[in-house]
Amino acid sequence: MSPAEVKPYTCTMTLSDTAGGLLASVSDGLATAVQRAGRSVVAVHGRRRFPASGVAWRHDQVLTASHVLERDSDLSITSADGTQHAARLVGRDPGSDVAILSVAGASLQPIERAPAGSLLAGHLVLAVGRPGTPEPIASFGAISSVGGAWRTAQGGLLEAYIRADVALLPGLSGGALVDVGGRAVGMLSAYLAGGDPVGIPIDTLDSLAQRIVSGGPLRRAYLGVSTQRVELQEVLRLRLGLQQTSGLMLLGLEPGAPAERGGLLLGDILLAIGGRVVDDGEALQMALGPQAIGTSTPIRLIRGGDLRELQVVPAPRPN
Amino acid sequence: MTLEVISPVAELSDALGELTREVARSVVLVRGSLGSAGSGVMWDQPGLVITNHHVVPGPLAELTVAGGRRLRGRVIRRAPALDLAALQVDAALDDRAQVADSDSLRVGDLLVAVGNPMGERNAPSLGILASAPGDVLRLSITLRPGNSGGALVNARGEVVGIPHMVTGNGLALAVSTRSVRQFLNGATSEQEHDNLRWV
Repeated sequence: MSPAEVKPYTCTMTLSDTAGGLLASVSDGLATAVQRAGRSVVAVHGRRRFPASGVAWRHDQVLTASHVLERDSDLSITSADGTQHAARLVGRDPGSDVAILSVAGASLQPIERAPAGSLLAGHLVLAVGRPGTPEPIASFGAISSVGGAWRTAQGGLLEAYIRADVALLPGLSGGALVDVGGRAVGMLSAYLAGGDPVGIPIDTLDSLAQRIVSGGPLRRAYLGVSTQRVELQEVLRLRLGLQQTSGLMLLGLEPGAPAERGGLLLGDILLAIGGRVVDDGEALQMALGPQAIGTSTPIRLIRGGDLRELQVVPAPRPN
Repeated sequence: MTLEVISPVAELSDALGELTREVARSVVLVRGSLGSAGSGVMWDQPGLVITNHHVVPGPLAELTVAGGRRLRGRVIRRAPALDLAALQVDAALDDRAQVADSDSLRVGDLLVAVGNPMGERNAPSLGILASAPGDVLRLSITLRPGNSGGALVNARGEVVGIPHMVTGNGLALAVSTRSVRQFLNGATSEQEHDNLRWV
């Protein structure tokens, strides 16, 4: 096994020029598609675990999956050239798992789009993400179905959706589903179908993005808090007669925002807002629908081991 | 009269078939002395077969080469942390793999794994490189037990890795040829040199 024992020899594998050339060009085409799409796929930093992905929609705007943003502030993206930019949440629609980030001062390369309506079951696609890695990551598969409209389990209504058998690498959510030319056909979510990949088609993204930006029907209510999910000890639950096993501890309060004006304090554990249980960040988002804006809303919480109820008037999310 | 049109997809399908048959000539079925089974690759050095450490936990293995000939292989080096083992075969092996540098791969490159999943001889699995190459290759590919130790080849049929772990959901890991090279050059710290010579 010493290197001295290694003898040169002639390899016997012979792949015909036709087959070799075709396979090499397919391989090259796929890798080029990943690189091409990868220029417009960014890393999104908005949760405690590893980063997720996002798609450059405009030179200063990124679309990502709502569920990968565990907080509303202290967000940032890393563009394809490795530059990190602070990002601001313009708005989100947890029901369709779409969020828009504004990245002031960035000059991102907006993703190229595949021609509308060109997608059929059987077409080959690539899922391209960038979960904080210098190089994009990718998986490969075929379109299983294209359908719509679809009422998601999260309460959203998608005009259309794409199912594909691409492998969901960790951090692919918010990334691009692209054709073999590297042009976007949709944005990926691992959340809408219980861990199976779903692509939100670009036309659907367009209208969702417009609604989110205009603050129309998707206007969300705003408290000005940052929270972390905490388990409720059984002793405490028994004593207070609580069914839910977790709540949201207040880690930050924006000065002058509705939560602070309503008397919430750091360390409070939120249990319910307007009668809706908030046992995780997603439930909090769902509880802060447009109906809560400007309405005196009861907030049930634990403070110093006791139950309290305070009234807060959520504001519209500031832009 | 019918016009015969050869579509690019049909050509691609044929090319994948040809690639699989060519690569399969250098892929062996490995049965370890402790009842394990998997695949191995006849490397580009005389009498040398590379497989996974976990495929050959014992000192000896029975190898079945293309055509059905059975050979005895003995483990001459292993690196459990890399999940690699080198077997020496005391027989002339006509077919050997062409080995390429895994560092030359790009994300998205087409890859084919050829092994013996679930006892199926020389079954190909098609996928791509999922993230930038390193000591370990992350693959978007569906593999099953028995693919371990087999050949992961690029579009030219050159071996770029040894599949060794299935992580589920269409993802798998392979030891890169970069790691195999270091292993064979003795650049790893945990080899058991010539462990059978003393028996």
